[in-house]
Amino acid sequence: MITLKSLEAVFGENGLGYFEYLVNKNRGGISNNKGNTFENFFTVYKIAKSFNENINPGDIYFSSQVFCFVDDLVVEQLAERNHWFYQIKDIASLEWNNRPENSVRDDFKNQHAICVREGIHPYLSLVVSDKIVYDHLIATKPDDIRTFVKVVNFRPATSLNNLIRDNANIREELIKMCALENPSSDKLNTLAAILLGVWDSTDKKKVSLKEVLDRCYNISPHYIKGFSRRISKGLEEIIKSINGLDYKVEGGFLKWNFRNTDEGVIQYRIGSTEFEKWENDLYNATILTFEDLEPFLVS
Amino acid sequence: MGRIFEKSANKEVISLLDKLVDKKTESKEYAQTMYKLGNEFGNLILEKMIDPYDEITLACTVEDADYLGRGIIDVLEGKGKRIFLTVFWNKRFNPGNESSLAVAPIIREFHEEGYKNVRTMIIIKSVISNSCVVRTNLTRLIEESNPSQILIVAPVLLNGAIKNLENEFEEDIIRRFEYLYFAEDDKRTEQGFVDPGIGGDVYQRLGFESQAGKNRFTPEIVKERRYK
Repeated sequence: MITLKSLEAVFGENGLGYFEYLVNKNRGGISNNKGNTFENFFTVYKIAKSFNENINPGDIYFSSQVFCFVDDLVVEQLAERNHWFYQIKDIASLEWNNRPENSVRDDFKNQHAICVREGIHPYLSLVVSDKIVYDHLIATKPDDIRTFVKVVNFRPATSLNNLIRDNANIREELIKMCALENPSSDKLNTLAAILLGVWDSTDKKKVSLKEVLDRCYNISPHYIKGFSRRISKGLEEIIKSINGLDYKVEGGFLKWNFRNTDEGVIQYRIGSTEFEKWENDLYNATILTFEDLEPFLVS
Repeated sequence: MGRIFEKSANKEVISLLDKLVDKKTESKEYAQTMYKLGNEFGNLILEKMIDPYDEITLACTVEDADYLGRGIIDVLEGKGKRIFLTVFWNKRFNPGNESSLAVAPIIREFHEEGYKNVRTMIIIKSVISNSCVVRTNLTRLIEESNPSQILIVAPVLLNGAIKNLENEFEEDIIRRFEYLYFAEDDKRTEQGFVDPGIGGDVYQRLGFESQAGKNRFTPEIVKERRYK
């Protein structure tokens, strides 16, 4: 977050003018940032990517519409002082020098200057939905920002379902984040909708990955990869006693199959309180056949 | 605008739809009514099939399997068609504040062997409103099969449901869709059910009480066909 003081430290007497510009920019951004938007889709992608990169979830924070020059999404890794700044544009045309003052180019240049002054390692990206715009921005990138600004093409979609089908970047990250091997689209769609729903329900100000995950874990099924690789001996005995019933543990979830006609995934993650309660309910029941077990498989 | 009936909705069909809407109809009779509507659809489907000798996959949700689903299957199998039944147990919920975020993951599924290798696929649902469940189940099926004809069957649709559904698929898939329904409604109740639709919450009308209740249930048709 930029302050008037930090602007004056870098830009001298022009600091106040920049401060007023950022007040207006910030106000405009916040009013257009709910729900199924391109910005939120990109944020879901970055959240999934951070999870897959095994970054300490308590040390990485996501913020939207931050009071700064490159403001649509800011990801901060506090311990390393790494900050990723994204300006996200779902538009059909864009120029670096789109305005005489406070152009896209100026915003990136100014953001870089502020970060350098504050001892932050900045990673600055302009994210665009349109491939033609992307190619144009790459071809016309000004020399004075060439070394520290990256242009990213992130394919847009009218819905999460379409996004997962058409955008290979997000699909790949969701597949890695998902507990199940070769997950079907309904599992990926559920995982993405939960991430988006959770993100959208926060105030989007310094939300840690840990907070996002904790909120996701309260929703069943969430299909986020866990670490348990086995089930208890007692549960294994119940499953093995039923002829034709087989199971696998995938990413901390219990996947079952009966005679290749019936299959499913227990909706609670192994080791969670809900799973332990579910397991306890099984121990308290008399389970001799698959038909005895059926009512418990979807509880 | 109110309810608009399709041409295929004859007097008998309209009286069956009225029975669904009637709150006095008990769950047993409600289920029988769904079965009879299934029979009506069965006859319509026979006319629509692109290849009369084809094998057919019929996919439905757990709550529709014994009634609407069985009604269709009995007619088609009665005419010598080979049906591969697929049943999905969906858990529908909304992890966000917007209706567009609603999801319906498949938490359990039943398939008869051969369901992937058909030319005609029928996907049925007692009512289609925002099409979340139909979209989920259809996407799941076409991930692993390549039917040339996809019949989407429901006694009642909410106006706009077809557009919602088609927004979620590519043109190549949409070309294969054909819709069979008897009535289209244009409003919802305060609780979000299509009005008059099929008379409110289908889980409750069929006696399941809730979504969790219907998901604990295994349809008789699944039990019969599992060991076939």
